[in-house]
Amino acid sequence: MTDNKDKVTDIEGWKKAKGEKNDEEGYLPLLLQHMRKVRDTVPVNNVLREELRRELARRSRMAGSAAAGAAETAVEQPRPGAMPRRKWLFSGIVCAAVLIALIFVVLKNSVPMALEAGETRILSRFRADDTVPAPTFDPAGSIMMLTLRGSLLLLDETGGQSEPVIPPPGEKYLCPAWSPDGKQLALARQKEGGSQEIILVSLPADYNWGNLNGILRAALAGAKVLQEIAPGMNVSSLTWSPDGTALAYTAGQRGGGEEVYILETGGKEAKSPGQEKTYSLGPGRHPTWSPDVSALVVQRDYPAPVAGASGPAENKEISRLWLVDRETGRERLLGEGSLPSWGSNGYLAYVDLKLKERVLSYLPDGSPQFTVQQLTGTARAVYLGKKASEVKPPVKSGEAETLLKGGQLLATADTSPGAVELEWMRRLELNGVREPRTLYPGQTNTFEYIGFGPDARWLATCRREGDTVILSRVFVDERPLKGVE
Amino acid sequence: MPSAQMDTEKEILSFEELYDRQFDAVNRYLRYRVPDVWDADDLTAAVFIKAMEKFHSFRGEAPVAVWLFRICHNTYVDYMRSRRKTVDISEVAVAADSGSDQPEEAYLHLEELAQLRKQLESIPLDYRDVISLRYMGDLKFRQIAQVLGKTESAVRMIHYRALRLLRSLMDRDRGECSRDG
Repeated sequence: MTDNKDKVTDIEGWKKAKGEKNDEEGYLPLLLQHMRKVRDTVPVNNVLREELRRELARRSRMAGSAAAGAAETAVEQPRPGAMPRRKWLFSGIVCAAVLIALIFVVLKNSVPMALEAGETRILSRFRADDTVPAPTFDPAGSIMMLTLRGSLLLLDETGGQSEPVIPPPGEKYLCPAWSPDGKQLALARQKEGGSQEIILVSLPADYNWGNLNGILRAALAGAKVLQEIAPGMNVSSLTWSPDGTALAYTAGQRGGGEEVYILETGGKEAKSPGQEKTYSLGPGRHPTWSPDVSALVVQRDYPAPVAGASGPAENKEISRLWLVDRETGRERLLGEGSLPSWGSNGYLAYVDLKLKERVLSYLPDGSPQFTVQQLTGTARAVYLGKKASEVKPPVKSGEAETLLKGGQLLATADTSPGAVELEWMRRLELNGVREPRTLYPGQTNTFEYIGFGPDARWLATCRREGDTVILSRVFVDERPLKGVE
Repeated sequence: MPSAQMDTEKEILSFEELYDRQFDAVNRYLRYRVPDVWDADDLTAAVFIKAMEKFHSFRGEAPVAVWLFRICHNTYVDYMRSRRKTVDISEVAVAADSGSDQPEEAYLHLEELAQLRKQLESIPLDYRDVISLRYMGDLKFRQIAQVLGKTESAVRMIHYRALRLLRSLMDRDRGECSRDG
């Protein structure tokens, strides 16, 4: 200690001496200085600044065009004597509109169409927990509901949150599903002890963003139990049929042995006397209904073939999507993919996992130096049609028959380089490594949820980034196919 | 975005300019006062959306920053009312650069800042309102008075009392610390 006399400071003594000095000079200026420093400890969200600026500009444009439309309407007052010319003009406009509509219909039927992604809007970020946030939407698509740490959370169109609806102690709410008419809410409830049940909540016709939270609290107390789930089984992916007469869900032990079940809630009787209202559709998870409710697409996972010894960390499982007939149970393989969502527009969105390379730095000659190869999920869409019976036969592609090859790209679960990559690069540079190197991170960079909104004008996506989950909305539009990515 | 308006400082100010000038102050104010940063960011968005919707009706009776901070403060009050919980600002990490080259100085600065933030939680609510609007919202005393509906001299007095209280709290803690040591 004596040797280090000049290098070690007695912080308490120093603090005391400093305090005395401050007392002498007056504490107030120091306090004011500290208050300004406290201000510097509160960081500003620069990403939010830019995103909000764009959102405000968009809203402003929308408001501006609506105002312009109103102004035009106001200017167009009928004038005496101008009627015959206006009548001709009106007839001309109608004829032109009909002609354009006809051309559009003819073109639509002759030109192959595809779903294209437009603007992506981040709605909210949450601290991640062990459950996958699968949002559900009211029929207008303006209110979103999801579960977070066992509580129900409501979000408006801009991602604004209401106070969470917290379950009674020891209970959890899981996988809410809004009925297509908006009058019912189905969800799973985990009771004290861990057993689960599917419950149904009736909602009044006049709910809105302002009063829904209170309505839900009251309605949940009187929820009707639809289905008790066997002990040890977990419910997930609860989803209403588009006609609102049945629910599909996954039940099983997490990580294996999951089956898809159909629970008929009304409108349709059980298939034969004595038969249960709930029946299994076989193994699978993440069910999604065809628009005509005659079939479902489900995801099934298989062990991946063993990869080459020197290759990167390939996926240990392969997910395939199957089309399963609701009545007969007849199945058809659609191809490789996961997290299916069949929209009311006839498009099937799914996640495609591919090994993607990201270049972190370049050599002086322009070739990649440090790169990361990681399994990355992309959200894609193919047109299946609105009727399951009209789904085209799969085409041969390589070794497998598939309908999903070449789906149009909608979104990528790309993330910016994280702490692991930056630390890896730093170590290489410190060790003087200059030759090309590739990092293979173990974890997959993909979506945890994708799903079409009620009118299929947008796709909701959830992906993890660090300790947070990012909930986004990708607007989609059907356009003539230019080329497949 | 909405068309230009005249503020009391006799300058033309569009909503874009208002946004550029005030985003940091509003976001920092809410991040400082709201225990959850995600909620704070959501509230920031809500404040500016509300402000944009009402901007056309702003007549310049008060400086535009005061008008905006009235919206901001009311949004915060509504939020806290709905939560009915006390504010916990300890979640926001103290990550300031102390601006000193000396490690001891840096350590003490950080320690004192953390202590100060703790003390700020324990002072009365009207003191906290004034302190946060002054140091997080960058408002002048006159503007704080307009946001809170008080006189300027009352705000100055509250500010002085708040600092005096903070000083006595910190002195007390330092005294306890010395005794423990």
